[in-house]
Amino acid sequence: MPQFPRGYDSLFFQSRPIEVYFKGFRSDTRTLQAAGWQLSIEQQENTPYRGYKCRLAMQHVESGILMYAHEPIDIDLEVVMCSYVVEAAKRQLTGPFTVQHVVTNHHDIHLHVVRSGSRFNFQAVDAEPLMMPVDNVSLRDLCVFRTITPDSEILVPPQSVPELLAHIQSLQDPKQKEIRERNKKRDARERLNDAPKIARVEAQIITLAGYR
Amino acid sequence: MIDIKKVKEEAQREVYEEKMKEAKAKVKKKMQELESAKVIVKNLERELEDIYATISEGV
Repeated sequence: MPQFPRGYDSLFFQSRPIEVYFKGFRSDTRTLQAAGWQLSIEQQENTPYRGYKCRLAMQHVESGILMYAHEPIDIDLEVVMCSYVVEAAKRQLTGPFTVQHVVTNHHDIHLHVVRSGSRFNFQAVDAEPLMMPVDNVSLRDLCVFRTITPDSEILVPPQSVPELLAHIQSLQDPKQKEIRERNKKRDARERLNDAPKIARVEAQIITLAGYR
Repeated sequence: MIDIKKVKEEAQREVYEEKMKEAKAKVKKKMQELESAKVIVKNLERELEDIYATISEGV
């Protein structure tokens, strides 16, 4: 399982499929991945706030084919990531990758790659489109402006665990009182319902004095 | 003549007793906290039961 790079930079690749051309064949990154191609991109020097150039390499293990799109394409992050991405997709502002080199198992492609740390410039990527909510936030709401006056210190009264527990209990007390009252009423109702029905005996006193 | 052995024994016993006292106080404090927490949980359970009962009564 390839380790896909995480972070903002790699997300462009998952935003929408990028077309891939090869000698009259046309496909896109998503379709290729679905067909079993393993994709990898190489990022080149970029302007971080805007975008960068990248190259594509891919292999199909089953078929033993390796492809390389040597000519870098411009990835415009603003276009790809922003809310008008759908419009951008229609106009095909990014790509396509054009494959220049294709080799089979018996050959290889040799590149001059720059190692940075322990990884190559090429990184495996996931071309499956990813839905990402994009919020429309005003600049003011972003709170990017630092206040000149230092914030007043927020003083939190030091509380120990026993104090907090006691406080929680005191908060629960009114509700508990209500519940106890309700339970008393419920119990009384239940007792009344469960009480055995006493047969009413109606007695009539008849005086026999007049029958003497 | 002071019996050093006896003094040492007594001192050791006092040290032990002090340690015991400290340990007991710690355990007692934690037990009290636990009891308080149990009361809170019990209260919450009671509140939940009350909600169930209220719902079943159609209130």
